[in-house]
Amino acid sequence: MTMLRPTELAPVPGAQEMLVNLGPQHPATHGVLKVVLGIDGERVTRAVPHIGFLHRNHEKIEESRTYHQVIPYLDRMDYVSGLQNELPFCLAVEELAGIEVPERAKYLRTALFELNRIISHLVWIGTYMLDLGAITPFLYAFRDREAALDIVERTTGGRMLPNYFTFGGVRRDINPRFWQELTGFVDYLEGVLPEYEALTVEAPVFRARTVGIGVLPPAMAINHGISGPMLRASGVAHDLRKDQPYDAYPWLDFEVITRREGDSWARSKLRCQELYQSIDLIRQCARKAPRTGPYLGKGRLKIEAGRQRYRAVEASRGQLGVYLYSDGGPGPYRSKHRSPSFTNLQVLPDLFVGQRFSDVIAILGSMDIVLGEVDR
Amino acid sequence: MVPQDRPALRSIPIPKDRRYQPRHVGYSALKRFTVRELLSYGLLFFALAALLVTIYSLLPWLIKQVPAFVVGGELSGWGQVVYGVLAAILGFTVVAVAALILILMLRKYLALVQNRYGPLHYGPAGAFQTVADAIKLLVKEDFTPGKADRLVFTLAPLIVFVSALLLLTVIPFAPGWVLADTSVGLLIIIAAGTIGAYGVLLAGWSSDNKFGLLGGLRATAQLISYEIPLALSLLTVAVWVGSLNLSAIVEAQRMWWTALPLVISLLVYLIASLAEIKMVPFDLPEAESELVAGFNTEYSGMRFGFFFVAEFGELFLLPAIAVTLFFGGYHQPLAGWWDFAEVLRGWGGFGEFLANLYGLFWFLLKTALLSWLVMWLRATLPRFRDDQLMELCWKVLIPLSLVGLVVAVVLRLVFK
Amino acid sequence: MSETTLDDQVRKLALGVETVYHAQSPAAYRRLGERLYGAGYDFPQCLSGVDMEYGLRAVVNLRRLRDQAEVTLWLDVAYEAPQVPTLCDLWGGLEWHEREAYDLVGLHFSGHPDHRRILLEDDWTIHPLQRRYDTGGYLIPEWRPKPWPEAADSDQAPVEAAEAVTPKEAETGPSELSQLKSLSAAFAAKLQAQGITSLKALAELSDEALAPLATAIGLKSAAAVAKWREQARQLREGA
Repeated sequence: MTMLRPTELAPVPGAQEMLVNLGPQHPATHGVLKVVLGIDGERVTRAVPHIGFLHRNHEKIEESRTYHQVIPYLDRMDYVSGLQNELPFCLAVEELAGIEVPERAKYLRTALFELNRIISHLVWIGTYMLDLGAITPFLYAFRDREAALDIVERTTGGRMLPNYFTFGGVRRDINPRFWQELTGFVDYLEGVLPEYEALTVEAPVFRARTVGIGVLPPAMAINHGISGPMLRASGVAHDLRKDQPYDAYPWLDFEVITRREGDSWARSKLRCQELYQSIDLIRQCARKAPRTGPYLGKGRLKIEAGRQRYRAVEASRGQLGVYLYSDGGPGPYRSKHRSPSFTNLQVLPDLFVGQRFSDVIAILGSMDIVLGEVDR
Repeated sequence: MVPQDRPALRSIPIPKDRRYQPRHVGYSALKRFTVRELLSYGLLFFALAALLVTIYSLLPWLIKQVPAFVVGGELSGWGQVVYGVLAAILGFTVVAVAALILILMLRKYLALVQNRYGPLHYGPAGAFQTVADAIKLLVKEDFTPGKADRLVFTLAPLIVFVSALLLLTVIPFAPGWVLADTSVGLLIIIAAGTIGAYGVLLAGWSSDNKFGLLGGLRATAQLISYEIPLALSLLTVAVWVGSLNLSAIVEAQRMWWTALPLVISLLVYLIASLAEIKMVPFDLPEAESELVAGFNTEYSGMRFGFFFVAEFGELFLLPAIAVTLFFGGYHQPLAGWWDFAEVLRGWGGFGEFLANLYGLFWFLLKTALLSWLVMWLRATLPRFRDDQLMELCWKVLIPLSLVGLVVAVVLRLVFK
Repeated sequence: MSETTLDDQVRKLALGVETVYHAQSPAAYRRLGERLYGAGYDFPQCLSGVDMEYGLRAVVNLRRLRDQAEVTLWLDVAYEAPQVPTLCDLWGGLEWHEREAYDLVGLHFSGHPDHRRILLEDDWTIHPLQRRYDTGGYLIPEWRPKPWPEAADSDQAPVEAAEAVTPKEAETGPSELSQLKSLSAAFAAKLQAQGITSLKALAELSDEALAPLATAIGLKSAAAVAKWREQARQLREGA
């Protein structure tokens, strides 16, 4: 598709470079990302990422849809964690149109949001281990993910593309055993997570491959807009669930997890710790959520012309935001989706250059990108 | 042609209610791996191996039936040639069958660990899956890249394959059942490994593909580096026993297995043999999910099949060498005190044959256990980066193997 | 952010609890970006390109991690001159956002180190997120750009619209040009700097001089200058 530019063909002075394509097709599910690497011996001297292979033109399509019709398109962005994509748009519209969200709906949304974080992190750990050669954690992670996806499917109707959040709450009521199933699942997961960690993150071979690899300095991370586990693993305690809380997060009790090292191992360990945190948050939701009450708030979906809003949430990959501009019509005039993987991918050349050729896969896996939301 | 005129196709029977039900032999893979399945696979392989080795032992008698090949009661020149050729074909069959069964066992074992079914459809419990894979590889297009060096491209898999099979010739499967009972068996093992590394290098270079070249160079570096601790641990055993002849080494382990005094060398050998097989955690040269696809990128069809069978043949043969050198070969444990084989031999001519089968059974059991250990590592560990691999070899294994050598010398001086 | 002195070309809008800056010219946009960076807004959240149907708009959302303050900054440019100064030397995280804005909406970021398309292929000639194209990328034949909104017609009432008074005007008093409706003193000063000091000169402006004049004095489109030319002509004829 995109050819090499003259800037890419220009040889780096002093190096004998071989250009290698980390081609659009990957064995592991990052998606379709092409990175042109210049390799001098064992070291990477140049890395240029090419994206756009999965560009589906969401933003133009959404301009000719009504607000409700936009929500199914949002699931397709980060297809690994479906429900998380719908939330910033719903929040932005609710804040602009002044729609109230009832308390029960807030707890429901938060619980499902955290469940999708668990789902997304399980995919990440499976595919990252598959990149590095361990084939078993992939199947364990997906087996446990089946239980979580069953819960999501019973509640929303879809495993991957749920289309469940809406303006003012959720679309349908839950089944009576929802909270019970959810707590059962997190109890089971908490039992097997130490085994996962011992098999993956704490394994000596994995540590040998990721400790000290791909260190991201915190100043560079902040300046480049990195968010999510990549930012927090570099020591910056920024979590939108705490800093700009939404839904039921003001009522939940948790702390922002950070790590100081900033290398690939720190990011991996942080995601494992976030799994524990999500389990704890789901338990709190199950305890505190009201069992009766409306699941959909009342409010007229009318946004005046010229109103605009940027609203972001803390998705599993980072800050997922929507910039919404309305012209008073039935749908958004412009909805720009700020996806965490798109912004996190910008530092890829900075992380790759100077590293060994074999570490490239380890760094790319620890960045946890999903091309659906990079390209939209 | 009306439908009833058409001949009925022999197809895979689909259950009447059309819901997918895996056709397996009455067990559930979600339960533990049943003893029945293990026993059936083991017995199958043992029966095949016994059959082949029986044929091998009957070969001299068979050839002597043809008068042209007999000179004075012994095999003549041509007779020996025929004997050699037939024995080599038999050896190849043994290794090929072993490789086929090991491929299947690896897939079933990985499936067991990963909580899923393995191959299920072809044969009882999927036993003929590898045969189906082999047929698939055979009917693929024989493709050579345009600018590849044709001769070398064709030769490279053959070199790797033959060098893997060379290891077979010196391993004693049972008392007296060695293809080539030379006095330098250990050296042949080391030499065969080295020739295999050469074949890998040629494969990577002749592909005219920079990924293949990179993979081939890395693989060769890994292989020749790990030759050194491998050879040192083998020589340690030779020092301890005092002979390079593998049959003599096995006989010397009648009472105590070599593994007991030479633990360090055993560990070094096991790790180095993992690197020689290019098995996880040392499978960077052939890793699919790394950037380069490895030295066998451009190989397809049966050429790739040669690499594949060579790798799994080595998966059988290198643990077999470990068994021969460290774990007593075909002896039962503590054969010095009471040996059932002696009981069998007391029964005369046929008893001799039964005693050999008994030895073969122990040999295969121990090899299977070691192969299972290797497969267990494959299921569990991620792979090393190549510089960590080299570091492990040069900074850890070689010093350890030297330490083991010193230990062996000291122990031999003390105890013998 | 020092709320006291604002650039003469920035209007701070009151939109509820948000802080929104509407830069009036590319230079002001750049100056404000630098000032925000100096004020501690270190986390770039988003840069969006919007097609406003009278022109293009670049919207930047920034955040200060210290106290979680958010600020929005936008700049309107004309279709004919969609040049926007880049902010990605201040915040590296805007680099790909600017590339995407160029790719999809058509904003050109002057000074961008790697100014090329990111999502679409390189041989695309159009910028499909503009309103003149439909969802399939085909030109809508009956689409016409809307007129530029006047400052008075704008939907938000400005909190402050500080106007600078040039020294020359302070001495001589308001010029003849100040008779023109909705011509601020700042623009009058700029017109005078360009050599147009009287109604006559403005009325006799030729068509070719319009567009470069508009950019020279920092206006968004030549249409505004044409309007003033028309007013000047009417005033002279009336006078």
